[in-house]
Amino acid sequence: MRTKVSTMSVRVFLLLGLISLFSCVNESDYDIKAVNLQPVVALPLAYGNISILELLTNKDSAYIKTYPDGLLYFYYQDSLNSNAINQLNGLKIPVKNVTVGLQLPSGTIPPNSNDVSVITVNQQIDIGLSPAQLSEMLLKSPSILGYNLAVSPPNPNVPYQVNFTLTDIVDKNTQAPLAFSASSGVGSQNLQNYIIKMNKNKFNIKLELVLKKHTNSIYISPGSIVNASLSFTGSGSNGLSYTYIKGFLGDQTATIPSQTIDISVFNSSLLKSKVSFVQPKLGLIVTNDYGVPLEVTFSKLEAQKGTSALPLQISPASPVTVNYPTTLGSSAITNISVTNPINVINFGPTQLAYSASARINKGLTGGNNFLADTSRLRIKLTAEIPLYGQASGISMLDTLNIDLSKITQADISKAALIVKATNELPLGAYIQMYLADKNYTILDSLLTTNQLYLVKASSVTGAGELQTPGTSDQKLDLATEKINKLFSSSHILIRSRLTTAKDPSGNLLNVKFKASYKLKLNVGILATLNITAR
Amino acid sequence: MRKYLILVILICGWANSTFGQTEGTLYFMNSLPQVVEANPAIMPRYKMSIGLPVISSVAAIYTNNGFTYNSLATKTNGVVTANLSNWVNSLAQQNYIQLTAQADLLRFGMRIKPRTYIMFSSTLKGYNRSMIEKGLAALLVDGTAPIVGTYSNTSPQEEAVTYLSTSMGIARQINSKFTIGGRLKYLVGVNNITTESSSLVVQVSDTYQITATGDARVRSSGIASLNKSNSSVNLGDYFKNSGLGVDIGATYKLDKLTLGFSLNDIGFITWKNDTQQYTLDPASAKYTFSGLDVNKLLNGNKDYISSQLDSIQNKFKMKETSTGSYTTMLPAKAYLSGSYEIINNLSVGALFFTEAFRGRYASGMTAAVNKNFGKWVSTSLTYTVSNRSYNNIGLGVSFNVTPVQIYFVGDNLLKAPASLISDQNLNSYLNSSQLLTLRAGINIGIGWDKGAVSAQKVADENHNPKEDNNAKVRTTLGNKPKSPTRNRKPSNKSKTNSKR
Repeated sequence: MRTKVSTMSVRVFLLLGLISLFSCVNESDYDIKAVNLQPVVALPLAYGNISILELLTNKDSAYIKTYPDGLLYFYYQDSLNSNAINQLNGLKIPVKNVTVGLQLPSGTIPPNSNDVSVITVNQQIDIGLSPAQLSEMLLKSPSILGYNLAVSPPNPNVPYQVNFTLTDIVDKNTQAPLAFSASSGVGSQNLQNYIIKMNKNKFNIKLELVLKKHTNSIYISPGSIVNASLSFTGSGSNGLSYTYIKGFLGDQTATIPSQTIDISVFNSSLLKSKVSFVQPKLGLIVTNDYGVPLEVTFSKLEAQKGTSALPLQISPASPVTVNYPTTLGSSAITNISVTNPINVINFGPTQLAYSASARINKGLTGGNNFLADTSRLRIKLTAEIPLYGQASGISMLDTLNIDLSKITQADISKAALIVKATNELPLGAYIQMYLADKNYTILDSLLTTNQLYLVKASSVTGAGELQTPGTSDQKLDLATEKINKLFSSSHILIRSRLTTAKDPSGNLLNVKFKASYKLKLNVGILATLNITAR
Repeated sequence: MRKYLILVILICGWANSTFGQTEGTLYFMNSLPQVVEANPAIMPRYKMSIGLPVISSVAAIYTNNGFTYNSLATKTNGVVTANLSNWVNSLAQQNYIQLTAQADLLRFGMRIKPRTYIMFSSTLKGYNRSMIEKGLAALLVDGTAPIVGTYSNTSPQEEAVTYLSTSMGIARQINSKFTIGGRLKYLVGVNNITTESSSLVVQVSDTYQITATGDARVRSSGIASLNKSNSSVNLGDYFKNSGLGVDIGATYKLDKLTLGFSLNDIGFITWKNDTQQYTLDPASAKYTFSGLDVNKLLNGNKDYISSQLDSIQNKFKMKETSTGSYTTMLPAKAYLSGSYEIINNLSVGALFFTEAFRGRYASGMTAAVNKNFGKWVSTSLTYTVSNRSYNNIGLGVSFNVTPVQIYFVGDNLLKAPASLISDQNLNSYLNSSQLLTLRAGINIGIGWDKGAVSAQKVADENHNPKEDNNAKVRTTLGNKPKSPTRNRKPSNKSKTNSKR
């Protein structure tokens, strides 16, 4: 009993001892209010192996090509099509209506067990074009020959039939003339894929009147005729539609309306820069589908930059005689070179504009011409600008969105930007980073004036080729107060001003940009932080 | 804020422990039946002892070879601030934070013959050990600048195991000088986390480009199913995890000097229940951060940054797969001790110990002064050097009120009262400690072996009674001898003891 009491007492004693032990801990010592640390962080910010292509806009880069020696060049081309010649009124086929009268025999016609040919009439039809004189025309849909047969005076008892034989309208494949028969009333024939063979717009048709067999006597009053009315129509109020026409198209002039060609590179990244290219090439390539002597007169051919304009001087000079094809379906090319390309490119145009007129068969009265409904006069501007020259003040702006609001409190007691660059591009960069708030209001700039030349241009040979890469290994100490403004910034505006390599005297050199030239760039930050997390 | 702190603590080895962490003071407390945990060749003073579930022995051990709370936090004007830079400076190259807990479920020991002691125990043990290298902590706290142009290669580790150890053993006094002992253990594993390999290499180039490569293979048992809501726990499954272990020990007496040696927890557990493997393949778990890719930004790729973040997450996501059985070793411990009896019931001793577990050898030493105040009170005052900690004054006390024995033992206890006296709390004690061990409980003990009595000398107070050179020791079983010694001429030493 005594032992039990003793054991119980000991247990109670131990329990109390444990409780006392834990009650002897002041918990406030473990209520940590803040954590301090002072890390020195070396973080990479950006890297890249950048060619000139990355510095151009995507739109511009699409026009970059490479010469065999690696030299890059812009190659712009833009084609403008004109079907002005097709639209000449003198080449639109009018609706053609023709009525042919076929004389019926008169008196009482006894019953007859056979058909009897009464009369055959040949008729010449003129399609009515002027001054064109066509010899051939392939018809396409819609091209309809409509007809209407009626006896005059009306006599429903006359059994007749008209046999049409269009000897000059032949199937394009079989060359068989179009032939069909019709009784009284209206009807039509589709002329699609038929060729009308003409002599100076004229072609012949033949109509045969046949009196059909009959069992009763028929009385036909004297002077009765069968009127065969024919109409050649296309869509709506237009005449026949053609795939092509051949013959003499006449001496006519078509007006090509004013058109413009954008040159994006001058309209974007290089717009505000001072650029000088050494060997730009500009030209016009006229591609002519019309088989007709053609002369193009440019009433306007100029480079435009805003409201300013610079005329393009061309060779051959305007009016330009344009080559033409000798077979239908082929084209002929005429090259027109611009003789003042340096002036034009260095002018920094944003677009090229032209307006012109096209005259066919100038002074001619005859000839074998052709055109198709798909024929066009294509004027293509080509601009080939080797990246060989000099430039300064090329301005680029990128925006980097930042959000450091989630960092509770981080004082940067010391910070420096580390910039390491090996630059094969003959292009130096002055870079400034502007801190902006959410409304893009500039709060401060990050770098001092003498820290801006971050990327040095490579040195070049006399031919403008890479001699020695420009290297930068800089540690740029940043002012603490500017760094701390990062935490109240929403955007970093990175403005770059690029300039091509200079000689020791500071004069710009003509440099070449080759595909293999790269800017290897590493940017890091070395910062001593004083972080207090609460 | 707190999250940050918690993260740091977790990384550094939250709930970390070495289950095999040594208890230096316990070794010298042969008044306790639990002394056999240190050396099975040491026979406890009670001829028979019974340990009841839980109350007979509850032990907790905390060690941290890296830092104290004081090196992490300071209190100024009542505000507690954690200074992580100071904390990193205080760290060891490899910081092991360990926490052990164990409780006796049943214990029984009995001296069945004067020279033979048998023992049985069943103990639930659990430990957790995490290791973080200073390099990784420094990387997180001091930043990447210190390793520009070089790299940091760290291998964080996590080890955890909980198991039930049921053992039977015997200690046998071979002759008057030599005693051997051993225990055979049957082990049932509850859960386990084993880091087979791990590596986190962070390299910072001259251009500050940061490359991280992860490589890890971690196995677990009995863990994965706990995280699944639809899983059911079947206790029978845990018995699939079985193993064996042995403890062996010996003592050798050279007059007043007693030498001891033991090897404990030489064993293994084979894990079969709910085994999972988590791996990071270095071929895919590799990411280089070079900053923002100017080319992509110039090209207007707005999805670039978010796609990079997704990529990192995918690369470093551990792959979890079911795996077969695997075997882990127990943390093995070796003890080498020496004890010298200055006078009767007063001795001094020294203990050298080493723990070997998964590539780590942790050594330490304890010096002790031991004093028995009759049979009623046994004490041990110790000084322990362990885990880079040099200020550990330990104490062991047992009150032997037959049949009840109340005790507590710890390797770093004496600073506690000093802290209480000076600050009225334990904070300064806890905050400055890297080593905390405490074992306490109540044993049922019968038959206190008094050791030396006037007519029958026992030379070793701290270990086992020995035979006299010329005659067998007569076991007293805690009672006075029925008659004085007749067959032996008392030696001078015996006379001295008798006078006292």
